[in-house]
Amino acid sequence: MSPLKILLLSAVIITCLTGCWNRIEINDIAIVTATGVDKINDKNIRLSLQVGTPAKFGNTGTGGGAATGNSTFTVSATGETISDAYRKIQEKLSRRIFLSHSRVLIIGERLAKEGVLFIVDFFARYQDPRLNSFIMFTKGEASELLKNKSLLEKVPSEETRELIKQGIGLKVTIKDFWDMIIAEGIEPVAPRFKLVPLEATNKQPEEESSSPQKVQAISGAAVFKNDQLAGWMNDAETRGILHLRNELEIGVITVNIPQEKGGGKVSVKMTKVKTAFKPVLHDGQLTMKVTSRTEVTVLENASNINLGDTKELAFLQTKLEEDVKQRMQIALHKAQKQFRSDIFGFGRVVYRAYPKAWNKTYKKKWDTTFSELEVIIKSKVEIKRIGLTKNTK
Amino acid sequence: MNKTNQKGDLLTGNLQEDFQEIKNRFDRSSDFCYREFEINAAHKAVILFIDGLVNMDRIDSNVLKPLLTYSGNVLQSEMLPKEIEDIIHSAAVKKEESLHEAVDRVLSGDTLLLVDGVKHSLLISEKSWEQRAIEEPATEAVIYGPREGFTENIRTNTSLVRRRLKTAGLKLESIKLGELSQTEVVIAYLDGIAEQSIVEEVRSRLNRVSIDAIVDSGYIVELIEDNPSSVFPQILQTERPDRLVGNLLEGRVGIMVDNTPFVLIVPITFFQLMNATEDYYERYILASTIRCLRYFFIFVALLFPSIYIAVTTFHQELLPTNLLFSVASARESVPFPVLIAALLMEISFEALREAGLRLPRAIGGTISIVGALVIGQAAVQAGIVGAPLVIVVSITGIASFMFPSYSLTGAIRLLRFPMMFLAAFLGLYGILLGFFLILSHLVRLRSFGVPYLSPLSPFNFSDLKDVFIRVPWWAMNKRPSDTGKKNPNRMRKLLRPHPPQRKK
Repeated sequence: MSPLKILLLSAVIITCLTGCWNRIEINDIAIVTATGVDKINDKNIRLSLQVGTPAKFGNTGTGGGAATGNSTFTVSATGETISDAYRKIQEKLSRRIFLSHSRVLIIGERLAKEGVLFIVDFFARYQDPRLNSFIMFTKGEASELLKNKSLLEKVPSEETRELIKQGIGLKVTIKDFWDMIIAEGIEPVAPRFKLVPLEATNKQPEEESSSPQKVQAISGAAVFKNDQLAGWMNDAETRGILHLRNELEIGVITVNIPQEKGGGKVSVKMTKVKTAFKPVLHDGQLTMKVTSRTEVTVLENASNINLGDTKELAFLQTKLEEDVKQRMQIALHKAQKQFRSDIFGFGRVVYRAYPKAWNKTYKKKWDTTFSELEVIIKSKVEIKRIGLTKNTK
Repeated sequence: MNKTNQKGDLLTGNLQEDFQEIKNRFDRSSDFCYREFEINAAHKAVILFIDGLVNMDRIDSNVLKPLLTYSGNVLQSEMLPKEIEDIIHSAAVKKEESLHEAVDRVLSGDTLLLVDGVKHSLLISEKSWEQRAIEEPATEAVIYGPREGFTENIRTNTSLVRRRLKTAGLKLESIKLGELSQTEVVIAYLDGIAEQSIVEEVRSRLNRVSIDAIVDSGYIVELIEDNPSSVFPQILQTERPDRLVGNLLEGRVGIMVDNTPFVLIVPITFFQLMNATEDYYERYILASTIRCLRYFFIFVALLFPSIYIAVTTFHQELLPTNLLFSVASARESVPFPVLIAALLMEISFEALREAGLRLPRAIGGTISIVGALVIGQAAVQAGIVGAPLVIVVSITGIASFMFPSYSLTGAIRLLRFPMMFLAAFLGLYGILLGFFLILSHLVRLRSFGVPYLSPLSPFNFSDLKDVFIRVPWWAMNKRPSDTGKKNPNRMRKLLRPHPPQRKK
């Protein structure tokens, strides 16, 4: 046989010898959309997976495609490690678990208090899951939250993901979280996930007869030391964290106008926020200078101030600056005094500015230094636009 | 090829013998006509022709009438031939001494005049036959540009080329190929622009051909191609005179074949196959954009089904999650693996296309549209294939119609199937392998010595001006260097039109 024929024959045979490699049809995979990890008891953790049912997804009707019923279901199993639980879940599912589309990772409080590094290791080591999925923590059990139905999107995890991407709260991917654990001079922080009632009522919670419809919300933050949970921050403090970490994208500030000027409130929208901090080492004394520059546009004027008057506008500006400063101070105070955890990255900045000093003195006892650090906050607010009306009166 | 018949080839001069010889050759041919007569009642003569190939009116008025009414003196034998030649009013008259040649010429439509006592015969060319009028070429219709196409008559074809290149440098060398068909094949090139080596190569390859008949230029294509086993064509076939002329101006050689409107152009590159004639007549921005679109659609036509198969079976993580859900929900009802479903759809599509060619014009078009729609929709509803797959197959089908050259379309359509198999076995890696194999094959291919992928493969930056984009005409001042090195300058430099500048 000529060499060409031999070559052709071997090419065909070898191609078939691979045995279809790692081929798997789409309707043989169970597409996982969200992952949740909890601690059950001292030894075991529980892994919960939110799996999508493709039959319910179809919007192209070939007669079917009913929108009734859930488009996802939750399956969970316990095990000693994540992989152990993973294998146990596969016993229950008729399709191969496919983690590549898992968009969010929710971790329960009890597990977070003990350390989450092993979870991050699983996500980093195994090829399937993505490092750019969002991580968040919850006060209750993660598996409960995965059962929540979605309102606007096809799958609940899509809703969660879009919610995080809005930028109202913190936006932390597993990779960011991992970076923050490993890096010196910064401690991890992640958003807090909870279910809140869809509608605001003025009834007392005990008086409600039927359970109100709950919806997902990102509100608050979880503060860590190393990889263990140190505590929670509420909504207002989270805004301060965002400000200090220079991650604020959108937000609204409302200020009270004092009675002398007419009373009432003014709301402004922040359009551009830039925060920078600079350490100053002077005589062995470390101080941190934080400068923040915010550009705002006035949204609502429910007071008597005349925005057309530049002096009044300057006054409003000062009030806003105070408000912003106070936000940052609240967050800073809690992080310093209560948690003693540097979630803003001050240590990192000190290292960049004074590497020798960092290596010699501060690295070892950064916790204590941080909690006693003197921080000078300077905030500047610029009112860029006041809208089309000077004064509604 | 002309083969001289050694025995008894020459005419004897004896009318009865010669006439009998010729009549024997045309035995049992009902369209063979002759008329015996006497010139001036002294010299016997006979006129022979094939009915259907001659212009009867002209034969009557220019040949027979003068001969029959000749009332001059009875002439001596030596002066007879010249006198007869002077009598005949036709323009194309030729003396012929070889019997074999005379018979060949009669078969081509000439009229033969034999006179008793004269050693040579006279061949009078008054050809006329039924032929198709010059119409718009069916396979290469354009919006802008001339609508003349070649016909089956080689003389008409050469005249179409002559009208466009009124220079004596346009050489049209004629060869006869085919023992039984004696097809006239004309090699056309511009002396001074075409490389002599290429012309020589064409001549030698054509002279090598020894076949019983050339029915169409397609025969010649396979007999002189560099690599007939390749799926990619190395010779361009066109029906348009302007396309031929454009290529002649770039230094290429055209081969015109009698009885077929398709003219061959050699040597060509892959990018010649992708250029449409319209690109040169429209304005360059639009033409360049459409060209880029065409190149993009090569990949679509070749790889789209394969990529779909590979991504949905091996690399589901590459799809955006929402798209994955849609595809997954469509796949739920389908019993086959994706490869089988894709093959089913592709083969049905090809069958539809082929069937559409055979159907009469009136229902052909409707059937293909209705067929595609109905079959696609019905297949989705029956749950045999998924809706995304129907979309993939339709877009691939549309993409494969985008190429100006039918042979290239065929090549891409064929290559789709091995790619699908490779994708089904080896995923994206298989597609990559297949693509590399195709590419390595293309790079090795040559067309009459010119590498198939120039100016990309032996890289030549200045020639790229006509490959993926088409620079405006005032920027094309050099011919492409793969074939036009002999006479590189085409036009004056800096011909770009602009409004007059104000003098300072």
